[in-house]
Amino acid sequence: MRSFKKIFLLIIVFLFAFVLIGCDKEKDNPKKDDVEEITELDTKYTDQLKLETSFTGKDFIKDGIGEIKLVRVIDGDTITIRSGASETVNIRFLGIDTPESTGNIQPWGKAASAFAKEKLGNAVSIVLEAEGERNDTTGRYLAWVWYKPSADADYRLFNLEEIEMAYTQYTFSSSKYEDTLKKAHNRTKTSKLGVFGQKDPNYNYSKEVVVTTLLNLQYNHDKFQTGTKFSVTVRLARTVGNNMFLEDAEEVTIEQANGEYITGKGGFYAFSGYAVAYYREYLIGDVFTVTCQLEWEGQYGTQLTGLASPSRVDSTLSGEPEIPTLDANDLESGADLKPYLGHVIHLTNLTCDSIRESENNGTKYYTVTCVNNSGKKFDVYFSNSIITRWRVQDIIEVGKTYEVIGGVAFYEYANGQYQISMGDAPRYNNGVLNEDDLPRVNDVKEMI
Amino acid sequence: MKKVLAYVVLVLAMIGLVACGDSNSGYTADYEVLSIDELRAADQVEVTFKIQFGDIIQQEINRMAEAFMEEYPNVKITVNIMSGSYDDMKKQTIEDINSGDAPTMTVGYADHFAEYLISNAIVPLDGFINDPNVGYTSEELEDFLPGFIAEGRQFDKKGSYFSIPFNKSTEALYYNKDFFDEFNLKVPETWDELDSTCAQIMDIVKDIQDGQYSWLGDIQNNIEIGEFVPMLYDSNGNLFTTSIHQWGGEYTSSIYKSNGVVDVQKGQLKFNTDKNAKQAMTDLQNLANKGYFNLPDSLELNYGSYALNPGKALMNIGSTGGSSYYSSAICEIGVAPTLYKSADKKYVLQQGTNLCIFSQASDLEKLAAWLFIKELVTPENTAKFAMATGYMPVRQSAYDLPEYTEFLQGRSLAAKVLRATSAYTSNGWNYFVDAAWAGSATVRTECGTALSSILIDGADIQKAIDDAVGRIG
Repeated sequence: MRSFKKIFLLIIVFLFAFVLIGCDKEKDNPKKDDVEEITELDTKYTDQLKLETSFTGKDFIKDGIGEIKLVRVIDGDTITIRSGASETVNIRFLGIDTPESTGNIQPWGKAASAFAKEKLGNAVSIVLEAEGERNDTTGRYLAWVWYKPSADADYRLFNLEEIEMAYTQYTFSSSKYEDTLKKAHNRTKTSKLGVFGQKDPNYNYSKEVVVTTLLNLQYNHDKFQTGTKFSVTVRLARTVGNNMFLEDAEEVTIEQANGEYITGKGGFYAFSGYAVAYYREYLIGDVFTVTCQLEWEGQYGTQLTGLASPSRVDSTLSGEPEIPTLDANDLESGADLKPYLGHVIHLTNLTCDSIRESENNGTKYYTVTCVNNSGKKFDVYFSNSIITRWRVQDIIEVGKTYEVIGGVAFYEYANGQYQISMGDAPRYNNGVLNEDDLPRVNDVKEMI
Repeated sequence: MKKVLAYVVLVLAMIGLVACGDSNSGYTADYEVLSIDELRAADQVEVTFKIQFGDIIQQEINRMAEAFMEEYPNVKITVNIMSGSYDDMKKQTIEDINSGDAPTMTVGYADHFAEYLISNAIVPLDGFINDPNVGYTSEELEDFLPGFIAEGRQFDKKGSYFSIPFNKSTEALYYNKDFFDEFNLKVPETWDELDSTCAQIMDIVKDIQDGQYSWLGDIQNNIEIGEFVPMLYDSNGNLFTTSIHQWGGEYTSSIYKSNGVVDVQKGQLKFNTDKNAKQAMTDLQNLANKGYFNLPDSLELNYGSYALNPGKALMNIGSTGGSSYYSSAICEIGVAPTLYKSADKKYVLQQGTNLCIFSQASDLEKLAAWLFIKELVTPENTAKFAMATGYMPVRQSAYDLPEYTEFLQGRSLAAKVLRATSAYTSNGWNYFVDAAWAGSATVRTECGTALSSILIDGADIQKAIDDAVGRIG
């Protein structure tokens, strides 16, 4: 009987253990990490972290670390640099992903971009450090960005500082700085500031769509906050791959800030980027309605972005776009094209001076520099692989004079900062023109 | 005494069954399905929805969230937009789970859910699905594309629903339509046809002059410098798994515990000993050796579109979500279903995320999240979502809606892509589902690397596979 009791006792003990072990694995709530809670932002971890890898005499592109020259800040997590004798290259910051300030503009995107411009633009030295994969899928170099705010200061890890200033979250990618970045992320998150839960005071969160015209956006853009969504009825003037030059469907009259009225048609370059392909949805002259956002004098100049909800074509209004003609001999530089920004124009008397070729991801790009009769320079840009369709080397020759039809676009390195951006070329099938492309046939024409 | 002991044993056993119900009989929905009346009667209920999407999808989600909040004024949908990749979002979510700060719902891949299930952080949705008031009828449930809904049902033998499909894409064959039209070539449908089509292509292009056709670029120059391949396939990992399924092989499988629940921490490799898998690799390598087919990496490009656009390739199989990458092509882009090996195994891959609900949420929050999930994937909303984003509708009936069928007739590349992939809902096509566990994504990556070495470097097939298995560990 005693042994029987013992057996039962053992069974009970065993069952208890079974229950406890079994439940422990399946049911335990995860432990709450010890995270310091803050209500104001500071740079605790950025102040502590030091650059410990030597970069003296090293080149970032060749050696994976090196001091670089900042060419420009594109946005909160992307810059253009020059490293040693290399051409300019774009750098994407590791471990973070700030909200967009170009293309589809997001809350805190502009603020993150401004922060990067302030800190990196005023730095006395910037060192880039690679870790892991050298490039992202678009070919940009990936880097930790160390900057020195003043001659006697230590280098600071900008990627980390942006997390602590709540301009971005940590992307939780594996890294030698992972522990610090994670702690900074979790600590900053408790503040619920910036991207961790605060509304961007300079962003329009309203879902309301403002029905307006391109002309009104050109003249009264100051009235609208970043993020405001617009609905515009437009005519397609030219396509550039997935992007478009658009003009108001009809002439409109708007009141300017000074109380004066102006009548005409506004024009904009509309950047679709990698949004769902609008490509080939519309033909030149088609009129349709689309919602968009406005980027005013940003990195890529003034343009419409965030295109969405494109309507069907309004055939009652569709027809050829209005294209004004200008004589390059009457102009001093690309700067004289500024009033036509976003519009498609017909520019005559351009003599080809040189053709510069570049390539990205297998696609060639050409900048044709032209001169007028007094030697003033104008740039004509063929983007995307449209050039292959145009076969620019076959249709433009140095020394010959041309008239072109293309959109006016901002480019900071163009002569006079404004250039002609050529649209898609007409397609030919063994010499036979695709009839949809008839309006493009004379976009490049030699002047005899 | 015996009786007392027997009671003690009985009670303990019951405690064990109740407390450990999940581990003895699979996952159970350990939440109470409240009624809509209880939800409406509550004070404000907040649903935090963690996403990692671009602006276009955000706009669509916001549109549906607003409609939902109008219907349920005391429910607030807060959309938290995470940065980085999907994998980054998973890591962030695990941090949130560990700090007791999980969102109410999120989107993710099946292997993410496997990781969440290690700590039972997400709930099976069966309690909601089967509820007569807030659930789905059997007809509604069958309206989901079978392959899409199956992905969320793989974590136990009884097929509990851990997710509902949301933004789904697949693969399609993009091709230079001008070329195929001009030379009256039939777009290949099978891998065997690809072989003969490529032989024809190579015969045709040898006589074409640079610039003779504006949509073919400098073809002779590209051939001369070794930068012309008729056919490319964007993703080495996708090609590896898809070809194994199409050749009748096995890639991986789940490991079930004795209680019928999948071991979410490990899985079983099958491809390394499967003769059909090896045959698939052999056939693909033969096509590569003939110069007919390869991966974009063979041209030092990240995507096949970068070769198709300037005329360095004539066909590319890539994601249906990537159609805008072809917008600068020198040719008219045509879109067709992906290739298959034999008519009885028309397997096609599915990509994209599914919706799940976290266990840390209260029962009211869970109910609100469930109702919002239902709103996100109504036939009308999934069709609208597809038209705005290029992803595919997840409900069969959405494909027949007049607005959607009219959209498919459009000229845009997005419309062409959706038109081509509508074929996958019938015609013998099946979306396959691979076993998911924490770490299954690594297996896929390593298999992709093995295939790259097989196709690009001509590596010995068995050695490349064995090396991959070694790296997986």
